Amino acid sequence: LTRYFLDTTAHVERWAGDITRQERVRGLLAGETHATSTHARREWKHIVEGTCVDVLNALRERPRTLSNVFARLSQGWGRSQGHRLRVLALLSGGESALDADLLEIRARAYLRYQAETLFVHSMDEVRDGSECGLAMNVGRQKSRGEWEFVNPGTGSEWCKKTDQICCQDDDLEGKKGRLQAAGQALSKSANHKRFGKAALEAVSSRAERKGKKCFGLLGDVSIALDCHQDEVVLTTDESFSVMAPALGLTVERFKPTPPP
Amino acid sequence: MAALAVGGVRSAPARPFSDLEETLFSTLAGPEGARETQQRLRPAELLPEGEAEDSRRDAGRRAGTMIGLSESRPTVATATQPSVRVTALDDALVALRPLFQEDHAADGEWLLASRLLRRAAIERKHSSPRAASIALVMSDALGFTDMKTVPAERRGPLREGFIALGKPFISTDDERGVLQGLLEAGFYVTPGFTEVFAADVTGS
Repeated sequence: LTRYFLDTTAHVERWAGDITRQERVRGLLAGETHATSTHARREWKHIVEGTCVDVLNALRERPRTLSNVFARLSQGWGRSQGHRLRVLALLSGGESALDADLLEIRARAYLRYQAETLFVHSMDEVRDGSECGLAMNVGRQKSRGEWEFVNPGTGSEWCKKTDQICCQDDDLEGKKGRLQAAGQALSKSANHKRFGKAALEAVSSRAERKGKKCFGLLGDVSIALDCHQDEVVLTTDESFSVMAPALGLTVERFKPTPPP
Repeated sequence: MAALAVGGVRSAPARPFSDLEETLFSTLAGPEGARETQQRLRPAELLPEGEAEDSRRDAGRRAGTMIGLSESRPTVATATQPSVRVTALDDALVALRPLFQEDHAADGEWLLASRLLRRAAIERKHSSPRAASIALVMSDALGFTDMKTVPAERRGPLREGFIALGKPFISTDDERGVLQGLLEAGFYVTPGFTEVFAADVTGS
């Protein structure tokens, strides 16, 4: 029996992929519990709950079509056009006609409990060595009715190096050897050089481990470092295959749902 | 479909039935059967024993009936026979109840229950957002799952959802519990992403 460790892309594919990918991931996870990372939770929340907040704000402008809603969604860090489209499909029930009532009910429910319930389904452990504050972001309504997706402590969607809402610097301090190995492996890959560079900078400087460096460049590295060697990383992302030999990880990579 | 009269109060569907739904409903109950079904199966009677009394009280509140709070103040009602307005949620529960007890429900019956639950969700969007979310997640589960692959013994979560929808107060734990139950039983609660959807929305 295989114990999987799910990257963010695997979470996205199992709930918002095409039917083939959903069935494949469900089949792999069936009958067992698995693990994931708080960094995957942070990314999942930004993709799903962040888009829900954008959708609720878009609905306040009374759009006439789902295309109008899509056009109003902000991209933001870690939220590609493909991600927005996937979440919009979740919220519209896969129907391309706009039903504002159903869209709003689903968006509010995802913010209230569904996004988290889907994320933790079949998981018995969400490794949280860094105690990431962004993974605690919430969608909430401001006094004028506008929605925001923010950390309750800072009131901001993202964090700065100086914020004290995580212990990522301490967590990576204890993983410096593996962090360096991951950085060196990524630096040798043409498509991942900047991630490798960021990882190597984080080895030598605590200040380079938090804020935008963390959520913008070190996401995959942080997730990989949370994976145990007796687990199999389940992902669509090539960077894990690049890091795997250096970290002694086994990776099961599958093709993502084709982008539009 | 004509509005159904129960207890002297007419109810109009929140949204008109499509032709397909009308056909399905007529097939299931027949023109007179639908009326009889509605009159026979009031919400309180649809619920398990423990829930029935709460629902009757709730039905009384919905009908504008005042219920006495102490023995010295006898129960007062605005009418000798309090009327019960049949809501979209009631319609959905009527359609759903027999399905999780039957082994051989037809696809059309599941589809009808899914449509009625969706309509109930819209009806409850403002008055009971948690009921709306449960109704919609159950509608999605019935709509996205090939119900022929779900044997009767795995339909427990539908019953749990049915019970939750009959509660006068629904907590977030109730919502989460229904969704978790559906996921554990193997229901699909999210749609498969399609190129058609992407093309329609992006215009490409």
